[in-house]
Amino acid sequence: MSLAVAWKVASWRRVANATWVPLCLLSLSVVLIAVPLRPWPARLFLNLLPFTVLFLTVWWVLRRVAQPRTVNLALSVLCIVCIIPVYAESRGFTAPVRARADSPVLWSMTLHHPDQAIKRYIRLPDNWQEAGTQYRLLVRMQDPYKGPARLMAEINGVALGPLHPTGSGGDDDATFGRPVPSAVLSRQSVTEIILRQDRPDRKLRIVIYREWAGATMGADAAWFYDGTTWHRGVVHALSGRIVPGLPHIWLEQVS
Amino acid sequence: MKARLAQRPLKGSSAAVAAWLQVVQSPAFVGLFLAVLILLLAWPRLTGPSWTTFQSPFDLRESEGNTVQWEGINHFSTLQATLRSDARRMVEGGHYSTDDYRGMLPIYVSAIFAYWLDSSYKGLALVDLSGWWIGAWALYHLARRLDADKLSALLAAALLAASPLFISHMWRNAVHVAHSASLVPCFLVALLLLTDNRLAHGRRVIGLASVLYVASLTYQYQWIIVPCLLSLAVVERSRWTWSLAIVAATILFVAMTFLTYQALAAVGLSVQSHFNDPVAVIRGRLTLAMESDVSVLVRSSLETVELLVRAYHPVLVLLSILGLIFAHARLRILVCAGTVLGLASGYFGPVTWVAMSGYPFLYLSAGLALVQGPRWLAATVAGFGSRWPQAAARIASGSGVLAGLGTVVLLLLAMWSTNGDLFGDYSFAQAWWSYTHRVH
Repeated sequence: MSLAVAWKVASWRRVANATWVPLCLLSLSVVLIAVPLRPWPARLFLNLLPFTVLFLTVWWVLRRVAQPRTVNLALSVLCIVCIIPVYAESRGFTAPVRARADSPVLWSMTLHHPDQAIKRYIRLPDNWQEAGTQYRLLVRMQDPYKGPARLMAEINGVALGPLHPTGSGGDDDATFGRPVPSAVLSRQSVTEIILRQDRPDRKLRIVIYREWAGATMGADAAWFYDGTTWHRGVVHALSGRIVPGLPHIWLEQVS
Repeated sequence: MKARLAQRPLKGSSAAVAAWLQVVQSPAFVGLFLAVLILLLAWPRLTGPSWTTFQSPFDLRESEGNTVQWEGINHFSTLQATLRSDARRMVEGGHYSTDDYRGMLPIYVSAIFAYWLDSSYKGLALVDLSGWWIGAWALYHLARRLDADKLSALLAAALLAASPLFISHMWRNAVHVAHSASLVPCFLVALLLLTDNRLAHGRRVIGLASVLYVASLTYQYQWIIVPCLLSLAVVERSRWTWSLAIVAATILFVAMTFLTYQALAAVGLSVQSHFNDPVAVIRGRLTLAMESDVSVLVRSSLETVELLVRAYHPVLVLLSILGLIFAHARLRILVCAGTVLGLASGYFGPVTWVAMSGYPFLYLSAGLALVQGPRWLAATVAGFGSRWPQAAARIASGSGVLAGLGTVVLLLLAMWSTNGDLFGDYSFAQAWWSYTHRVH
C-alpha cells in the first residue's frame, strides 16, 4: 500500500518537474479557449492570440529564473485564470460617461433659478494679447441638450448672450460655447466668467470635477451664487452641499 | 575609470553598512522597494489630483466612481469585446484600429483582471500599475546587463519609477503606462537573446522577431528597439552576424504582423489606421515639412530639443550627461541612439512622452551619475587632502559618507524636480502638458 502511494507521489513529482508540461498546457488551453468561442471568431481571436503570446512570454521568463516545478505551477495558474472567463459570459461593465449625478468625483449641477449663477476666474497667459490669440468660451454639459433653457454668459461684466452647441449634432451637442472678443478679455487681468440659466431645466446640467488643482486661480477658480450670497465652490448634486470643485467651463484658443 | 569606480569600496563604511548595502542590493529587495515606491507615488494621485487634471480636466470621464481619460473609452469597448460574445459589435463601428492593435496584450490582461475583480476600472488600472513596476524592475536588470553596479542600477530604476512618463498617464486607464513601460523589458530580452552565444542563429532570429512582435502588441517600440540594437553592433566583435540577425528578425516580424492583420480581417476585425498610428503621423509631418521653408524646419527642430529637455526635466538631462563619463561604451552608444531617436520621434509626434522614446538609457546614465559622481568628487577631495597628512585620514574616512550624502541629495533633487505636484507645486506637471491650448 505504502509502495503504491510512494510510486504515485514519485510519478506526480516527475510530472510536476517535467519540461514538456508547458507545451501540453498550452495545447490544452488553446483547445479549451477555441471550442466555446468557435461561433464568435472575433472574440476567439481577441482571446487566443494574446493568451498564446502571454503564455509564451511568461514561460520564457520563468524558465530562466525558476525550477521546472514552479514554472509548471505558475503556468497552470495562468491557464486557469485565463480560461475561466471564456466559459463565463461577462455581465458587462458600465461604460465611462461624462458625469454621474451621484459621483463623488465627476458630477453635474443645474441652476434652479434665474438668480442663481456660477462664476469662474481664469488667468490667461501673460503674452496672449501680443500673440494675437483669439479665444472662445466653452461649457460642457453632462448630456447633449436641445431644450428651451438657455445658458447666458457674462465675461468681465459684459453680457455675451446665450451659448450654443459647438458640435454639428449628436454627442458634440453636449459642449456649448461662443467666441469671446479680445476687447472683452482685455478688460481685466483675471477673466471673470458668470453663467446664468434663463429658466430652470434639470436636463441642462454642467459637468463638475472634484479637483481644482490645475486651475489657473486654484481654489478661487469657482464660485456659486445662491441668489443672495456668493460661495466659494460648487454645488454637489447629491448631497446639496457647496464643496470645492471645478465646473467644466474654460477658454480655448482658436487662433 | 568607470570599472574601477564601480568596484571601489566606500571609504569609511563599517561592516554594518556593508551588510546593509548587501541586503539593499538583493533582487528581492529591489522588487519590493520599487513596488513600495510606485505605490507611494501612485496613491496620492488617485486620492488627489492626477496629472490629467493639469492637462485638461475637461477630457475626463467618470468610471465606477473614478475618473478616466476619454481615450479609455476606446479601450473599454475592446476590453468588453474580449469578454463578451458580441465582440465585433462591441469594437467601435465593427472596426479594429491600429490603436487597439498596439494595445492588444495589455487590454487582454486588463480584461482578465477586470473579470476577476468585477471592475473594468480596476482591471485597466492594475495593468498600468503592473506595467509601471515591470518597467522599473526591468531597468534594474538592463542596467546590470550593461555593466552598471547594483546601487546605480537600483537608483536608475527608482528614477524611472518616479518619472513623468509613468506618473502622467496613471489613473487615465488608457493603458498608456503599460505601453510606455513595455520598452524596457522588450529591449532587455532582445539584448539577452543577442548576447546569448549558446543560441543557434535561427533560434536567435525567431526569438528576436518574437520580441519585436510582442513590442508591437504592447505599443510600437519595436521601431526604437531595432535601431538601438543596430547601433550597438558598432562595438560588437561579431558586428555583421549581429546586424544580420537584427535585419532578418525585422523581416520576419513584418511578415508576422502582415499575417496577423490578415487573420484579423478574416474574423471581421479589419485594422483601420488610427490618427496616432506612427506611419500616419510620420506621413502627415513629412508632408508638412516638404511644404515648409528652412527657417520653419530649423525652428521646429529647436522646439523638439526644448521639448525633449522639458519632458525629462533639465536636472535629469544634466545627470544623464554626467553619467556618460562613468558609462561603458555600450551605454554611451545607447544614450546617443536613444536621444537621437527621441528627437526624431518628438519631431514627428511633438508630445512629451514621444520625445522620451529613448528613456531607459537616459535614466540608466542618470543612475550612474547619482552614485559615481559623488564618489568621484569625494575621491578627488580625498586626493587633495593627502597633501596634508594629518587631515588625510580624517578626510578619507569621511569621503564615503560624503559620497553617500551626495547621492541621496542628488536622488531627492531629481525626484523632487518632477514630483512637485505631491507638495502643491503644479508647475512641472502643467509645463509637461503645455502643448495643449486650453486655459482654465
